[in-house]
Amino acid sequence: MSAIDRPFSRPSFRLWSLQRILALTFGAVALLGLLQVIQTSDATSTSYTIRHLEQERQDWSAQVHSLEAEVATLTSLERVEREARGRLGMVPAENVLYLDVDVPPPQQQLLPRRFSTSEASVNEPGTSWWQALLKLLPFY
Amino acid sequence: MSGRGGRVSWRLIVLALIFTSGAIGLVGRLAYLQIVHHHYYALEAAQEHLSRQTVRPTRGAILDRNGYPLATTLDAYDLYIERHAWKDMASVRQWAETLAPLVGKSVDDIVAGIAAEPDGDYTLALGLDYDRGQSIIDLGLPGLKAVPSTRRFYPEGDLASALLGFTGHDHVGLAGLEADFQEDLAGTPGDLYFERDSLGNPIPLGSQRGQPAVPGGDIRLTIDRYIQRLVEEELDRQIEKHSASGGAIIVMDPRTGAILAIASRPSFQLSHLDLSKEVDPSLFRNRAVTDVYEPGSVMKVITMSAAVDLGLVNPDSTYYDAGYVTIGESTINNWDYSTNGTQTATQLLQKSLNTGAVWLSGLIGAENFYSYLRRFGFGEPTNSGLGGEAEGLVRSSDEEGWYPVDLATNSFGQGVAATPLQLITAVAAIANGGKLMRPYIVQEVSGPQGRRVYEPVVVRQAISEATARTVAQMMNQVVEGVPYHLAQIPRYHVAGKTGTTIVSIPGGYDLNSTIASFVGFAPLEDPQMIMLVKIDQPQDDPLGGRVAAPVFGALAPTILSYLNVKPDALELAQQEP
Repeated sequence: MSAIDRPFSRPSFRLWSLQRILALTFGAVALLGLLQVIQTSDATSTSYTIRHLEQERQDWSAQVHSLEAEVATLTSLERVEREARGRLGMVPAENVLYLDVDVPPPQQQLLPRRFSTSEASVNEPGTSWWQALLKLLPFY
Repeated sequence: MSGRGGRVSWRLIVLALIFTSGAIGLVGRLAYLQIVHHHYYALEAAQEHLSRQTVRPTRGAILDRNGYPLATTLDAYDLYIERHAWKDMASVRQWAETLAPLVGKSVDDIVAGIAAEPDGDYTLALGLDYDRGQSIIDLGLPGLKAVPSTRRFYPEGDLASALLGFTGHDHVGLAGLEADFQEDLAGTPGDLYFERDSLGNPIPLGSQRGQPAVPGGDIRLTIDRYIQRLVEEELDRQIEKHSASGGAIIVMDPRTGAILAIASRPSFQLSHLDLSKEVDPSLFRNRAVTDVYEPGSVMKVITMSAAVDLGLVNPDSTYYDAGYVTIGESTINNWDYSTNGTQTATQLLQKSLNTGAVWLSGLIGAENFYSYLRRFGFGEPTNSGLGGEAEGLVRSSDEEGWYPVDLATNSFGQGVAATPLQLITAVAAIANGGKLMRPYIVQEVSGPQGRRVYEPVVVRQAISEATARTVAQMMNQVVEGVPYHLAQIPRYHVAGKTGTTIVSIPGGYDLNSTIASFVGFAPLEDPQMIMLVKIDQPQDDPLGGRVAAPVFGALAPTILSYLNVKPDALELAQQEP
């Protein structure tokens, strides 16, 4: 009964108790660690993807060069003559007849523009302000 | 921590000072190492765990004037084996059996090669096909190093071998256009830095950074592969037919100086080139630009041009041919020892009379004569852009060792020396209204740095337009005024001149061998093609008119037709209504 007679006291609620601060700190550190792990994992995964794509690009580039060479071989004079004589049964012309043609000649084949300046200009990724700031540091 | 009475103990102060100064020193030292010497130590650290690899750029292609590649580049791999990873010889043989069919070597060769390489890397294959190299990489053999590389590929086979030249194992041009335009073709190598393991191999997911390689530019020639092929096949045929020691043929557009074809023999074949074996380096020369010869009677058109340009003679001017001329103690005869009596200037060229050329040189005078030779480009390189170009040999009257008889012999092409390219360039000036053009073989370089276009260049007006027209008409009479001249071709009017010269050797002349030549252009009214044919030391017939002129006669109709040159005497086919 004495307990009943005791005056009612509200339980004390301290918002910033040591235990809470420690728990929050621990949680924050754990979260940061987790973020670090996730970021590292993501960077590694991206790095692998980039490496894979670079290899793929190299393979395609080699394939393009190989196909260009194949086209060049198929259009080589030796092959054209072999096909003309062997497969099509053609012979060198003996009598040449001239026709007066009033249409312009076909357009001359153009040089491959693989390296033309307009196509070669690539959009370089921009540098952010913080990267520029970092570059000011002597040891960066 | 304080003494009695609240005073700080001096011992404590000393201790604090020691610690403070120690800390300051430590921080200072750290700052010195990490800030002042940051670059040095960063580099040292990087070298510990980073490796650098040069990324080879793709070499540019060499294209003909229509864009067909004559030389291009394919991706490839250079494969090496780390010897220390292949110590067990039983495994070596097993792996060699797997690799042998893929690299085109025998098992014994691979095993012997690895055994002979006690340390370092064994070169398994250089310039291996990309796909094949990739399949070897996929085998995952230990100690295999695959370095991305390139190799040259020639779609037209051995066409223009001496002109194109070749590159060495380090992909640097060693001869021909590959060497002359090395800077344009090569590109800029890149750098690749990667993290390595203790054996120096790249860590699969380690960091990589560097500069990418910049590919080389393509060069587009004035050469036409079809004409080049025609010319080379005909040259080889004629050399074999006459059992000649060599020869050269050049085809040019006289209006621009663009070289459409250039072939010389003896030469090498790209398909048979093996740099690991001893090869005669003289075979790598493009003899049409590096070697000089005495032009012989072709020079008479230059002498005639000078005389006409000075107003000393016209096509009908006459002189008396006694069959010989005496200059001091020297007697000069006609090439066939003939005596022709009164002859016109045109007949002089038609019959190629030495006495006539001497007569002209006497009228012109030494000073004027050599001045005209210079105006036609003799004695100086043509600056065509081709490497190793000779400047020829012209000794003028004010030079030591010159004798009056030299003027006489020079007038018919003896005692002067020129390259085939110089000679065709000089005669092209007559076809081009007197304008001497600079011959050129590269018309465009197109690369990452942009495009560079080479335009035709007029070097100078060698003779007047009227003189050029007159001499061209006289040259036409040389071909068409002589019945059955072997340089005549149907439907086109041709101008030309033959040359036969005795071969000069150290200390004199080889009287038993000649150089037979012919220079001609067509069509007469609007010359669009000029050709020089030179056959060295033909064994069956010494004369240019019988050895070289027919080559022009055989090639010119096809080339003119191919170039869409309208015939002079046009016979149109009847069209069905």
